[in-house]
Amino acid sequence: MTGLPSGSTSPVALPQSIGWAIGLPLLAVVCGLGSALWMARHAPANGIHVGAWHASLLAGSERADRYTRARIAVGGLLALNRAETLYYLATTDTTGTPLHARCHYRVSGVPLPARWWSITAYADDLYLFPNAMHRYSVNQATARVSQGRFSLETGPLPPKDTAMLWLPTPGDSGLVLTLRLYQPESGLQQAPADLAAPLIERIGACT
Amino acid sequence: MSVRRWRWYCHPLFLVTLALATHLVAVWAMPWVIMDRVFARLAAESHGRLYTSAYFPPPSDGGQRRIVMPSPDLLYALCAYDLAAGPLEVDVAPQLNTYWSVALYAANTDNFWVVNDRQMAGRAVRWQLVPNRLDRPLRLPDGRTQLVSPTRRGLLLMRVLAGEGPAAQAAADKARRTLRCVQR
Repeated sequence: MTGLPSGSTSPVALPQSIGWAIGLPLLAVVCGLGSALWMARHAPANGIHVGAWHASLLAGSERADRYTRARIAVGGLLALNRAETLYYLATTDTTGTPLHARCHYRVSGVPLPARWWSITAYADDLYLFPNAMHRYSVNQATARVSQGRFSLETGPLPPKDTAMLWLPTPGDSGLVLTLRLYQPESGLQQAPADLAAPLIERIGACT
Repeated sequence: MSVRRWRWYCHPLFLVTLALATHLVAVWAMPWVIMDRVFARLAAESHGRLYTSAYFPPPSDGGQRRIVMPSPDLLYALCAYDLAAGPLEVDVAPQLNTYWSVALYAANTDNFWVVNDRQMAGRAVRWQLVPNRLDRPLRLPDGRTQLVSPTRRGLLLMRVLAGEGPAAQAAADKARRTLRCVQR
């Protein structure tokens, strides 16, 4: 006999109840916040894929759903809507292998159907790679077009071909390439998946 | 039903319901919270000019940690607004034969209005931004176009193509510095 009245809580059960009362809501909140952050950072975006590149067609749009808004807020804040600008992002090369700053890539294609375009290299924190040359992008004005195609290289070391345009990617980080097309031609605005997307090919060994 | 069996049924249900509710609220709130942090960061960096006139940040480079995915090919000009203090009057008159645009963002990151140099065809941007909901933009007597912000707070972002070489960059810088935001 414990001497406790019938229906009362035992000395052992009380701390256990407090544990449930605190631990369970805490676990639920952590799961809810964690899954929301994961969705915003890693969930596949609604949109289109063209070769290695993908584009969210609702970036910046008032018609964007909550998940698209969250993804844009985390990974592309203050984007313009697609009538003004199309944004294509690549996190893999053309074979589907994730891009890395320690590797060298050749990006090549035909000039893009927009009033103005650029290709910019970002580290996986989505900021520019610090480099002594202050070179962060290749654009319509700086791209060297030969026989109807442009070509550039990214990597931690300059290309062997000194005439090749180079985007330095120092450090040990993932690599995100962003293609911006300002005022894209109307045909591309209507069918962004028809883009003749630049190829991204790994060349040589990674450092 | 015993207490143990009641817990067996109710605890997982409670866990899933609360986790789901937290998830949905977090996804909804994320753009607002991130924009709020951007407002605070830019306001500190501009020493208050962001809310009182306009802020002209230095060109984007590898040391910049202001906003993700900055374009190194553009120069930016910014104003933040809180329409609780009254309408915002915006004036921009860039004389530039290259790309520029002025975009308005609501506090939930929506790009609810944008014009570019081709649309303006040499005319100046003259807006009055108000919080009240209207069916369409109004033309005010003084020639300003009245626009309605879907949220009380928001951000104006002007982009100017910086161009290549010092002369082009100086012209782009001069063009962005024509931006004026005044709260009436």
